[in-house]
Amino acid sequence: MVKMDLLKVVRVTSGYGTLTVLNQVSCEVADKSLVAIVGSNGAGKTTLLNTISGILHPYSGKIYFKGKEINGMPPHEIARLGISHVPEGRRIFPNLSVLENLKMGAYLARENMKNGMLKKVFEMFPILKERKNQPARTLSGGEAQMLAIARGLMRGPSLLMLDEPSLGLAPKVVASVYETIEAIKKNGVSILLVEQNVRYALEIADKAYVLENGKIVMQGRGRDLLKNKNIKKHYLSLK
Amino acid sequence: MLDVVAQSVISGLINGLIYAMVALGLSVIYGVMDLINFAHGEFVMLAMYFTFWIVSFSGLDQTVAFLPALPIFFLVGVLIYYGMLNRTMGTPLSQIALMLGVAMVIRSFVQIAGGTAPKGLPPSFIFGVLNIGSLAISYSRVATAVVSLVLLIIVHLFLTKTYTGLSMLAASDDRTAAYLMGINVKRIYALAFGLGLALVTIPAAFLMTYQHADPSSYLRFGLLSWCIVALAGLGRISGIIPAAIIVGIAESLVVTFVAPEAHSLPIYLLFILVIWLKPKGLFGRK
Amino acid sequence: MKPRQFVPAFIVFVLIIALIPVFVGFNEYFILLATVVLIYGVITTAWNVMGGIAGQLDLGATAYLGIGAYVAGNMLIWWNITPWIGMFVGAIIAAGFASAIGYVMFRYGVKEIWYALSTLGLVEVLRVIFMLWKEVGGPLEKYLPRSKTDPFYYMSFGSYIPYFYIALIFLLITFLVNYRLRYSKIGYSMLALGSNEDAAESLGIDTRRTKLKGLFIYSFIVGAFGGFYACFCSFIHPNTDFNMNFALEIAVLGIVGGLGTYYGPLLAASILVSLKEYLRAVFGTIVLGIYPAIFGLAIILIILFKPEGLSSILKNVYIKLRKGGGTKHGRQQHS
Ligand SMILES: Nc1ncnc2c1ncn2[C@@H]1O[C@H](COP(=O)(O)OP(=O)(O)O)[C@@H](O)[C@H]1O
Ligand SMILES: [Mg+2]
Repeated sequence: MVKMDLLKVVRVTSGYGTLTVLNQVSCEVADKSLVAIVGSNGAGKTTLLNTISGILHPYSGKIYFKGKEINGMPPHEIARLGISHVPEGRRIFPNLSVLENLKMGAYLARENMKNGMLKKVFEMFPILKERKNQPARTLSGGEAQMLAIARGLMRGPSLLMLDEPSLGLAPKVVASVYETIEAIKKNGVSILLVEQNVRYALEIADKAYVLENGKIVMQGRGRDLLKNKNIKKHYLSLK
Repeated sequence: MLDVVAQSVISGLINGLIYAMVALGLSVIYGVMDLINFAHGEFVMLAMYFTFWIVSFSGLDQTVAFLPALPIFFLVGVLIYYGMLNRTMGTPLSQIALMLGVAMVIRSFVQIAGGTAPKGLPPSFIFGVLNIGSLAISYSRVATAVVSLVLLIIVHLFLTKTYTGLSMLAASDDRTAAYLMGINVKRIYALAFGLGLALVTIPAAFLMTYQHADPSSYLRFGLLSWCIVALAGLGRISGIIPAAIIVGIAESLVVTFVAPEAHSLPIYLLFILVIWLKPKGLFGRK
Repeated sequence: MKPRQFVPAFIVFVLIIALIPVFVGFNEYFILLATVVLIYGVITTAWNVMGGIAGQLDLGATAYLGIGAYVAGNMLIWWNITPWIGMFVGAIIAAGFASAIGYVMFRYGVKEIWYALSTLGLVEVLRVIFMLWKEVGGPLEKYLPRSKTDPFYYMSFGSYIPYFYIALIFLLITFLVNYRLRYSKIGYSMLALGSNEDAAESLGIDTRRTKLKGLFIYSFIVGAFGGFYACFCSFIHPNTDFNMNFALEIAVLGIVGGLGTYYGPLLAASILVSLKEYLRAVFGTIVLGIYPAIFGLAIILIILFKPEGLSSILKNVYIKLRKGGGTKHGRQQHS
């Protein structure tokens, strides 16, 4: 069965002012799938997510979400359509409490603070329940990443975009973050995952793209790429 | 001697509580938008004149005279945001110059419409004097201090308990992340600026229960508010109260023991010292 | 304007200004107006060193102006020392004071809006101190001694023409300092500092030193000019000399003129102060206080519709002229 594309990026060129970063990038996320975009530092992964979520506007190209053209829309309207972007570096609200952060996550779906959603999120991230009244700035790196993901889930998005969720985390913590990501996928949320941590990402991805210098240079099923010679050479063996 | 000190401190405490309310609007705008409203003192002055005109025209009591002014100020704030500040986001120098332009227009307006003579009102329904030992404090000042506390609590609850209030704090923490939550940050900024201006109408009305307004009132209330905001630091409303009390007491002690003309000196010295030594404020977060 | 084109343009500019008294038929009133414009021009152009080139929003111009005025004024009142010397002493004291304050501020990393507010607060602190300090200041206007026989020594002239030319000389010096600075090594450090402090630091620029240098030059000129200002007013008073609104106006003129250029502030001062004085002359007695409103509105309109500052208009005109007249339709595009 062919799944409908939830997100479709068509030949997008984007960047910062006069600096063009992305060059004719195309990719798709099928409904209920997990897509990974891997690439080294500075490849343009964050730029791609920022362009999808409306923080940046593409110079050319089109972005469709649920069949609707979204390029050029402001970020808060794109969020309203069901995209939840968990930005690089977590970007939680440091002076708000954990609970208040979650409340902001549910800004567009306030009923979720009262129905089962909050409970579900707390079940998924028990540590956040423990710390719910603490200011978010007091959380450890792993906890902060959990909060950022939890905040992104609070409004019940159809697409969750994660930007380097493993950045700066200890290996054990990374493993638990990835368990969580798989659990989220099982709950029926589509995921667009951006990573430098190639092994983990490819392992769980249904489909993956390799981004280099702002261009998609390779794509395929996650496990297939994992076996690819070039990938092995450039991203995996050099450890 | 001890008596004199105690009286001076009590009087300063009451003033400090009142000042907290005067600085509140500035603090909301600075806290949320990271924007210094250079016209804050002018708006306080303008609101005092509004109170005067409303009371003289309609015979309302000062204590409720802010009711018609409040929505007008809110609207003016929203208009200033969309018409001017929104178009100059990211260029703080331009924003400062813009607000100085607004300040000049207000000063002019007050002079043209109100003349240079001080404007005072007959006592409100709160009158009389509270005697503590040999210290006499008018009930209007006590009432103003109480109103100030109540207003600060209301604003604090608004900011921490409502979605709109929390999203203001969120936008102040991280503008981009706030956008990603689906918060229309521009709308939130417009609301914050409107709120910041609307909030000057209440202290202005209560100040008019025991004070005059004149075309130079802006000077006193402007710098006073900046000083309190600097002392309080960028933070939640709770920092304003101790900061304002310190200012009030310092001012009162200087008036009692140095010279009444020097009343502004401790405020500015405190202000300068604090931003030199503790630029994040005494009671701020971060 | 490139350095190469600067010299001829500058000479023409000086000649035109110097001939203003002739153009207005030696009408004292117009010369007074022109002198007021020059006064704003000098202070704003000096401010430009710190506010424009080095990008520090300084709102304390009249702190240094006031110190200069009080030093020169009191030297004349107490010891009968000519303001020509007083000006120099005032400049040194103002610059020393500014450097001491600046050293502490920059040491503690006071910057941006807090620098702005603390310099503004400084003006007010000084005003109050001089109000209370009866020996040198006090709440009464202190008139400077005058002499009909030796007006030069007392810098007290019966006509505005000498004031006009003294201010003009100040302007020329300030202008040249700005210009030299703009294209010097320290000027480049200042420009880098002004556009991005962190980036400047990563380029190895000692930002603290650079700020201090800027502040020193600026406060020295304004301090010296304070002595002239006292003589021009013929009295000293804390409200006149340590005037916050005056300091704010200076910064606004600098911003409106276009930051980082050396002629923008002067341009803004010429246009807006002329406008202001004109309005004062026309409306002053009819409706008291209308001119700040129009002045304020002019600032708002310029910021909203010419955010690059007035100097960009001059640039446009210049480019048009260079391109040989230009067309009547459409604007010249330039980058
Ligand atoms: N805010 C910005 N302004 C200008 N250039 C930027 C900005 N952010 C990133 N870049 C540049 O864009 C390129 C891609 O960056 P990014 O998308 O963050 O890469 P990645 O996320 O893959 O590490 C880099 O060369 C980087 O220097
Ligand atoms: Mg990145």
